[in-house]
Amino acid sequence: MENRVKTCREGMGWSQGELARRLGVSRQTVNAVETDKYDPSLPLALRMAKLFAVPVDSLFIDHWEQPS
Amino acid sequence: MSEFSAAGPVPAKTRKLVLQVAIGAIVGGAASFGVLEAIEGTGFNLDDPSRVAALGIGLVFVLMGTLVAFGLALPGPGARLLNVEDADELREQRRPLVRSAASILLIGVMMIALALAGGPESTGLISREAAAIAFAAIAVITTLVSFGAHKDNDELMRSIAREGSAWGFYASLAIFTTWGALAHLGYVAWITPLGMVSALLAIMLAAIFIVCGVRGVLTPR
Repeated sequence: MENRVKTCREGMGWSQGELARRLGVSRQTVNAVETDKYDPSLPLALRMAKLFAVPVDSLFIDHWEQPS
Repeated sequence: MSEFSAAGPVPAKTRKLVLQVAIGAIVGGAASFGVLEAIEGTGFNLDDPSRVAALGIGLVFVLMGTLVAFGLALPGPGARLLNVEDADELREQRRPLVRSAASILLIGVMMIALALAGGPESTGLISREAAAIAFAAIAVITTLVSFGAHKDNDELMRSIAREGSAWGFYASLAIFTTWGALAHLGYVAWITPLGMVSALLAIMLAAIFIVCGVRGVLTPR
């Protein structure tokens, strides 16, 4: 799933380590999310959105459309 | 321009990857050679392929556990050997990594003990009673450590463990049901018990590595 985590993190001036510390996860997890290798759980996605003060659907972009 | 780039300095990540592979190959090769020489010196017969496989798997686990333990003991040089961003990342992950290194080392020791143990009709470098006690003790310890590690791991590591276990199970199911069916019908020989233990560990290890690769954990950082 496409996401804007790296853009938001860099916008806050945080390193991957700093974001990981704030979220209570490992740097590997932050790196895997930013590189689209891993989709975070719903609680982690909500925490990320809260930290960056943005809506979840602007942080994680789902291109799915309802079939007509 | 592209020629200039091609001839330019090797990126730090590539250098680190080459260093990691080279050190792993050198240490692994030297350790395997040393152990095989030492065993041959005792006159112990290593002709049985399942013993060689168990010994090989055991050495791989011991090598992995030793490298992680080295990184934890000396985070500075350890960060150059392990796939982490810097020494601080090793310090941050100390708690789960200590458990992992201990478990991996113990499983390696267990496999080496089984490979060198005597059977009911053969003598080994280790008595079968000692190997049985080592197996039981290590099985209990690693199970308890695994439960503790599950609490320390974050969601990515838990996800990798679940996904790797599932793939390992499916691969084991496919391999051993096919092999068992063919052995039952007399087309192939059935695997020895030690060969089965070695194969299961090798399949699980391969599955975890593949999932780690898919999730980007093995990507040079």
